[in-house]
Amino acid sequence: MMKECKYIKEIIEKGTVEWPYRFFHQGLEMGRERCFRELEKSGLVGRGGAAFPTSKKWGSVWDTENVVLICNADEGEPGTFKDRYIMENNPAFLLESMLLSAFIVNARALYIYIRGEYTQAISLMKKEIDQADVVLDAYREKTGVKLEVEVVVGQGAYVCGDETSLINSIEGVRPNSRIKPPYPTQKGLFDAPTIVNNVETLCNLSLIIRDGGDFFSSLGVEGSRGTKLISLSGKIKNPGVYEIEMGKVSLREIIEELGGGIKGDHELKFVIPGGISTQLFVENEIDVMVDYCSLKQAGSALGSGAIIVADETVNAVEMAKNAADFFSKETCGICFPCKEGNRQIHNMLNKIYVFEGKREYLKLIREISETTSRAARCGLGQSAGNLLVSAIEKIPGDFTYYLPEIDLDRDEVKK
Amino acid sequence: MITLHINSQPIKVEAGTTILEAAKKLHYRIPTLCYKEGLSIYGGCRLCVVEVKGRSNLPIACAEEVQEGMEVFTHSDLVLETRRNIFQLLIANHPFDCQLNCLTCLKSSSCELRKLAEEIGVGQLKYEALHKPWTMDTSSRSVVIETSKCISCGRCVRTCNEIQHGGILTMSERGLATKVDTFMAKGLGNVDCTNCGQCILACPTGAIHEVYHVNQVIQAINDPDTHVVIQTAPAVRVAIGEEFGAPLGMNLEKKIVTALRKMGADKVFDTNFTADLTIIEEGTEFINRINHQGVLPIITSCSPGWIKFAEHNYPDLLPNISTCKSPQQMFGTLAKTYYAEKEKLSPDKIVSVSIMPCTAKKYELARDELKDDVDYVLTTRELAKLIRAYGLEFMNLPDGEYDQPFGISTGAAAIFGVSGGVMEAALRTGYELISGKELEELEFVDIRGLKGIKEAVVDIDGEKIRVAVANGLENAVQMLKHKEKYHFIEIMTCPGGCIGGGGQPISDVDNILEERMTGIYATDQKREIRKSHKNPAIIKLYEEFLGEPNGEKAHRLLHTHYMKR
Repeated sequence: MMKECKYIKEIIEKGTVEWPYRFFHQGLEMGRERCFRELEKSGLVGRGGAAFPTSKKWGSVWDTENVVLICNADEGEPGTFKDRYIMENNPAFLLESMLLSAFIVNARALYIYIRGEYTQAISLMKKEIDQADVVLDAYREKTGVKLEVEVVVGQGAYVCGDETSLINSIEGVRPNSRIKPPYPTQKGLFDAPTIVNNVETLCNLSLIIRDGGDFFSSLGVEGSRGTKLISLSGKIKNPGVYEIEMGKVSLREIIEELGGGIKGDHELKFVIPGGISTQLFVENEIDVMVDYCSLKQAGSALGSGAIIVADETVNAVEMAKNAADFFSKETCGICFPCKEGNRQIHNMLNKIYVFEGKREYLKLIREISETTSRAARCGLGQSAGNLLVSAIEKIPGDFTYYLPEIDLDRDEVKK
Repeated sequence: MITLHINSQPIKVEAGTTILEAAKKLHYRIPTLCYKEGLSIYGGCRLCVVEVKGRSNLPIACAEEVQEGMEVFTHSDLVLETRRNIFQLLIANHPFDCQLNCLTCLKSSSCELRKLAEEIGVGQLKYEALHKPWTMDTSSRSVVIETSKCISCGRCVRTCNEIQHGGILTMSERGLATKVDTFMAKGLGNVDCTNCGQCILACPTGAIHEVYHVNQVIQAINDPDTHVVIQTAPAVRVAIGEEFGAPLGMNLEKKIVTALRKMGADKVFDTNFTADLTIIEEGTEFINRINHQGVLPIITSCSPGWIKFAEHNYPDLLPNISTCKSPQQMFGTLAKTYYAEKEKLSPDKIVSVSIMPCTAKKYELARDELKDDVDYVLTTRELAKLIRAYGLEFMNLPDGEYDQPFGISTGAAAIFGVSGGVMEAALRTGYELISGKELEELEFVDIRGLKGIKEAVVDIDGEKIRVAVANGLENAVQMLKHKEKYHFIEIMTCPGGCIGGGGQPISDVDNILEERMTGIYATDQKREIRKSHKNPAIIKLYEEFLGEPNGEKAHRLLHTHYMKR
């Protein structure tokens, strides 16, 4: 049984050649109120990782003037490549979804912030925008707003995936996260009310307008409506972007049926279900359904849908060390628990990796991670320790291998 | 009004109040580090985390506004543990365990980290000390940055940007390497820094401090071949006591005189004397500009931070700035000319030292056009260091009197130390010189106080003279937008004027500037002569040496010029 569902992917792959920008024109005809009602009915939540209800976000700027809409295409999460897939395969679909969304939130400015490494996506999007005069004219006719779509190219900071950092980056200042409140919807880009949404979220808008909110909400399960693009990678036979109906497929099914199982003659060791900020699952935990609630209940998160599969050749310590290297480069350097916590964790894991670790490190790493998750300023810091701590908990063998016994003895003598 | 509970106690506060402010009303002090009143909220240190019922993460008290029905716990177990751990993390990256850092640190007696450790309850290191490489920015003549001590709380950056309109300091690098730096890492001496030193006052860890001249001064004093003359600035005497437990704002000039004499200074003089002289020169310049359609408004030139700021940012305004040297530099010149002649000393045997509330004075003395007049500048803090180095029991010292001929000064000179003081002193003299009448009401209350921008209109013989006073460079920038409105402008670089200078003791008293200001005005009240042009020593100086105010000799010795930078 093939578990992939082809709801959004079909459009991405086949395109809408027969009638370009038809969803957008359909939205213009419906008017923004009716579009918004459909969005409310759909139960769509943000696909970037935070799963915030889109209608709630948009509703908060409904009567506001000068709204700025930013499409977040700074896909920096290791293991995620679904937005790239959309941009490279059907930039027109994204652009029309962006325009449709801009129409609904009554935006006066529209940005797309694309990860700098995505050179092909950048040039495709730019080209698409250059050719979109007719649509933009239609937009102006309907709304009276001469909308310009600006492409902003990211300079390579992971933290810019956070909406407030992204806004700072567009403003040309250091990309630190901002203190919330005020939320971007109150005071965002250059102090204007600002909506930031992920590529996939906006693309879903087109489908909601095409099929109606009720149909969209008939897909998926409570709290996780519609479908989700999954970036499947790691030690599997068929890595790639897949689409699933949320809550109807288990992690195991995704790996075995879509991914074709583990590559070569190896065993599954663990799975990271939502990018390197989420807790990993070991083999006996992966019968969990893939949707926001189920994964949360199981102690992890769906995040942006980056499922990374590891077999027994993968060393959990090495992976943890790489994750720590990553976070210590990518912390914005402003909030102390995140910066100093990652400094310590980075140091400890690097020492463990060269057999110079101490047993108490494992306790300290967990402690720092707890502190940081409670006190850090943005999502990066709050979730940076998730993967490491779950690795220590669930795959202790890998860690104790690196912690020499002689050190253990000495520690025990000390006590 | 919003009702909430803090630690189970009800409290009503205005909407928009932060948890930190509300807790303060209930007498709970929540530890803070990157927070500083008057600066924007940074939200970096996270030490002020609190628990709010119903919230899974811990919000920070400095940024989180109260909400109806909120239940806040400022010292729950979870909060305390989190705070301790954050502090542990932070302290593990601050070098305190090697090279006797704590002993030699500027903040050894006022270290905020030490106070926090006590408050938060941290007595032992938990995490491994991971120190940054030992780097120092010594490119500036006034201010040193010891990056290794920096904890990136951003207080200096915000002070520079928000109070001083500087934009000199910024966060650079990324990730763990994030640090405070100057544009393109050029170093403080190679960027548009005004040397005001407000960043020093803002820094909680002593990572920024002045360029020390203490050792050079001790050497000069100990050298039998040199003749050391020391001048003391108006704002030093009301602040030095803070270092020795004296009542706040107390004028301790007489003890400073004794202390310096006991150290072996050959002569102890008063900068106030040349402050009076500045008034005569600047007042005359102002009258001349009014009478001969000169460039107006005239802007004061006493504050070297402002001068450099103007040279960088307001080159068009340079003709407006009074050509008078600052009191420090006038003193330096007179010490090596008039005084040297009088005492039959060779000028190159004289070592001229000034004690200033200011770090920019260290830069000023080395300006090309002013070179060699003053040799060393000690800040108020360095004076305290020096007093301690000589083991003097400062508060028990007997009173001493300033040496002549630069020891007599007026109340007008004393108030140079506060924002609005130079203006007030100039008006006292200007009024009488222009109108020929005696000024009855000496206090110009409109231009007193700590407000950032102050204005007044003074009626002199039917002529309405409009004056403005600004302290803090951000305020100066705002005020200069309407500069055409005025005839006479006083600008002081530091908030409050020299009493808030970057070289002053670092205090955690909230109203410290007011205390120092009160001390300054009390000094003025007590002086017998309160107008600069009535200073008998000044009159004598003109008769014996300078000739006419703004005359050829006065101009050659007491005036200077500026350059576009």
